[in-house]
Amino acid sequence: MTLAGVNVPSVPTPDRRRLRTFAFDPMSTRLSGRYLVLDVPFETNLQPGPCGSLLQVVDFDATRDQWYEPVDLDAGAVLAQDGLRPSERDPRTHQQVVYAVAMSVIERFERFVGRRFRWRANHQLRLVPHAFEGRNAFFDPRRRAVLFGYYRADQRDPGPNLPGQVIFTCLSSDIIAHEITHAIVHRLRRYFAQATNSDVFALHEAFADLVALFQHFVHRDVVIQAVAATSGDLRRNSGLLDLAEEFGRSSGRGRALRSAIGTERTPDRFRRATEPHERGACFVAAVFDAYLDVYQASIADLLRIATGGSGVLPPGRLHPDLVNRVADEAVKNADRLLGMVVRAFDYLPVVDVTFGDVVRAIVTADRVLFPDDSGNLRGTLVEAMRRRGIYPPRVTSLADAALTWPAPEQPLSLADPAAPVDLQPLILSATRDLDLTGEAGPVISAAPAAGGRAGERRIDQQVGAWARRHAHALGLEPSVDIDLAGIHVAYRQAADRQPRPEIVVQLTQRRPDLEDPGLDENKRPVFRAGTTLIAGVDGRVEFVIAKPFPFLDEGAVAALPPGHAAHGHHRAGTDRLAALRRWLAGLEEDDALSAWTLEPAIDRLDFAAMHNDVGGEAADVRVHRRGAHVQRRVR
Amino acid sequence: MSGSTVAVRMYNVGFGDAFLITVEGTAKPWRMLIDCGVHSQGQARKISETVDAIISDLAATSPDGTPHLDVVAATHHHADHISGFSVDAWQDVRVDEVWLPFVEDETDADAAALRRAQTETARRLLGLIEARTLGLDPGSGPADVREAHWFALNSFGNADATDRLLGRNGQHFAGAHRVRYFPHPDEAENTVAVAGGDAVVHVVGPSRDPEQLKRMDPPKSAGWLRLDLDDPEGVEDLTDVPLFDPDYVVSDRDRLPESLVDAKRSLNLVRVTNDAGLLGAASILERAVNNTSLFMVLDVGGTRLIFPGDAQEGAWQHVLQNPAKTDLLRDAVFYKVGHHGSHNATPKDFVEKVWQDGGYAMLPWGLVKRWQDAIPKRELLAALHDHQHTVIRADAPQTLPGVVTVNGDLWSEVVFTVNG
Repeated sequence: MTLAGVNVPSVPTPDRRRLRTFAFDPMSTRLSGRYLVLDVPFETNLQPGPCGSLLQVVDFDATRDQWYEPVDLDAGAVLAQDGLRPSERDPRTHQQVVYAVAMSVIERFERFVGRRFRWRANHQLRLVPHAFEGRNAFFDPRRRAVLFGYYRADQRDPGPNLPGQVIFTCLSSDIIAHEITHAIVHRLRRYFAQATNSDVFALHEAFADLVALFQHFVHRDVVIQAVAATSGDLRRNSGLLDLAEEFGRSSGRGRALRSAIGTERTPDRFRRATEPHERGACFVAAVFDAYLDVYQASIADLLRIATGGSGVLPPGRLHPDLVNRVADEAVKNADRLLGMVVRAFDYLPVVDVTFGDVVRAIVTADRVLFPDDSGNLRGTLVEAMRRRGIYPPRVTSLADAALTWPAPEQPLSLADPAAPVDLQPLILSATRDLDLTGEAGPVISAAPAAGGRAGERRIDQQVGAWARRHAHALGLEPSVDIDLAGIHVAYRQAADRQPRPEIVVQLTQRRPDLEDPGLDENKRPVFRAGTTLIAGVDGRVEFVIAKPFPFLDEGAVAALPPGHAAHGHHRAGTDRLAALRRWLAGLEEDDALSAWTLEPAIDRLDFAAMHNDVGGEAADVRVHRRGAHVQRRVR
Repeated sequence: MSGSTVAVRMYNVGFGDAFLITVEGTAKPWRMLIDCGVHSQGQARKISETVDAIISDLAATSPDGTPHLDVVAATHHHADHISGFSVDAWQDVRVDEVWLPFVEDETDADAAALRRAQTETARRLLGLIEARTLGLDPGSGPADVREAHWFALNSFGNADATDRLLGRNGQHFAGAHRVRYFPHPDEAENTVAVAGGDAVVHVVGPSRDPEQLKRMDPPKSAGWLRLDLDDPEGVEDLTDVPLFDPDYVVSDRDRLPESLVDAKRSLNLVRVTNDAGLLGAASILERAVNNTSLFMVLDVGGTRLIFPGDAQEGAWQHVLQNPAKTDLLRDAVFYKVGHHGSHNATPKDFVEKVWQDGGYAMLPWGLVKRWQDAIPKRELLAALHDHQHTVIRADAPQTLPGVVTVNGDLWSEVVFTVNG
């Protein structure tokens, strides 16, 4: 090669990749004539598929035993037109749409949680756009995949679709966002895949729905149009708030999770609800109430300015400048509110989560960053939850201080000289991950396979030794193995615009001594305790978020000083154990298959069953059996 | 009535029920047959052999040699409870009355709709199962599909038997019979004097309460697929329809990036099936039909015997929440174990708190390999044992002098003498 051939001025790699999608599914695009452009990070070395570092789109149709041509998003012609123009008839655009929406959701998530997102062991999540025929799309943890179904629209009530037309769930931005969020939630809290109370799956569903719902606000154009069309009152615009429009209409069914939005703010519905979708719907509605309140409050001054102080808008259209400013507020507040909810994730317990826990996690996480709550965002959200009956049981008030997770009774530090945990490699790696121009840090995971430097104890061993030493204070049984389920460093931006580094540790412990001795150890419901720790980078533990079981040696607990955390853990653990046993018995009672098999009913609850008839009334078949191919329990 | 006897003869059909009850007292003997059927997968012998045995037993005890039954009660329309009535030999048996749960009453609009929905759902399910197995025998399909098929068949294919019980479509007993549906809306009608006044049958279930009727509703979807009964198109299948123009199909797989091929291999997409959904729906249908069961207490001068059909948890609660009905159960001498001893068909509270110790329980059971670990429920047998009940199993007949007689492996019989 000649020197001249090498020595050309380089073109910098773009930072962003623009890709077209439907707005927000083929049906609404057909009605509006509008496509959207998503702006996602530019992955270098993106292979046909697309196959990137986080996602891999596998468009194999097993029913017909054929591959569909994988799209090459780096092809010049594709790059030059913001990706292919989405079409129901071209499977390559289906691949593009699932990739674009999934990337966009992941990026947003990273921004909220303050760290680089990676799937477990740095694997990719697989997206299969044409996986099966059926009214469903679901995240399958065992396959590390989201499987999308396709089906014929209802013959009698297809909505604005053709009767019998093929509907692809992989073309709905809402369904994609929803399923990707399930995968992300599963990455952060894998034991939430076990429905140990009525809120666990409800929470999975509600988070997934909220992310999908607020994803609409990524598109400023759409928001502007909604604001203009409704004169600023977003409650009147259903298009922006509706989820999975096409899916809901073509299946001739209602849309369960959003059913509570805009309903009267009373606690009755949540108190009565036992079914996961129903409880999730109340949570989604409460967050949305808060959003509307915050939004209305934030545009009150704009409306006053625009109306000479009265705040009462005249009939007719808003001034385009006002529309722009109001839309800015709508977008900004959507981000703030969703951010507040998503940020809370690190503050959730490791197992057995409830909506009450979510309220406490939101308040604690937000208070660390915004102690003053100057915009009254936190207060508004807590109030919106309260009005719908969602608050932790047994708190003395709904004041910040009462809702915050407890700090350790006695000082507790990961730097305890008797069993220190070396946090430095972890902090360095997380910091390098945030430097986009440099090389990513090494993966330091909780999995025993990931070792540190030679001759050094692995981080899971260090944390294990430390946790055994402090088991009583952590709500974990000292005589039973303690596992490190996750450890990471997050940098969140606080009110003073400075990053706040934070270490999040997840500890779990299986308690075979409490499980049903009449069943095989590998086939019975697992009883698992867990504790989340939030610590500073110096190792000082700030919060202990425990889901304990009773301690084995009650005498040893009784001998501890009266103020010791173990007493509270023991009491809470006794209650939790009784509640879990009641719950499991109830599942068996409800499940029609329990009569016929020894397999525990809880093992038949999974994401596929949760999502039967997504957006429809899945409740009529509440409990489904997991596929026969699942022989091994991976939870 | 002192000195009267009541005998319960359990025929060993396999996985199914057939009980002949005889009350002998001041009046002429009174005979009632409760159910006669067997599950397709768990036959101890051909059901026609059991029918022949029942008929010859009846003939032997009849003064003129004509087999006769005062009452035939068919607790619910599952094959394992009524399949035997399709046997033609019944044409020679005189039957005075047939008792059925009210959901079988075609003149009752609500009941008819429910009954039709159950049957139609079974039909749809069978269609989906057939589509799943591509028309091949579901009996050799994956285990979940096979089991779903059994459930759907159990609820579906009993037309001849039903016809005989209703005396229609050319099916009949010897002569005409009266059909009665229970429970009657008039509560007084649900206590029926029988055996010339020596005995009373209390029909305590099923409930007609709308809340309870929900427990009899068939499922509306089977996993990803709908069981929409109003949809005239029936089951839609896209399997043979190409999703996209052939141009988009990769013809040369060698061109595919290796990482995609690897991913496809590990995903094992061929195994993404809706089998769990089919089985879930089929089991809900099975339970829905069980919950239509006639639940009867036979009272012979204070000696009480419980025949719950296959009522499951919800249907039992309707009885246990009613103090008067619960009182009928407390001092019973006999309990026909519900639903072959499965989980949820005999409430824990009934065994632990209601039923007094030291009674007799008959367990109609036959081996079906798929269910052998779960049915009968070990905890139930242990609890019955702990409360000093004598459990008589159809599959393991055992004589107990003075109380239990057996006839080879054909039947076992327990006799109670009434202390007036």
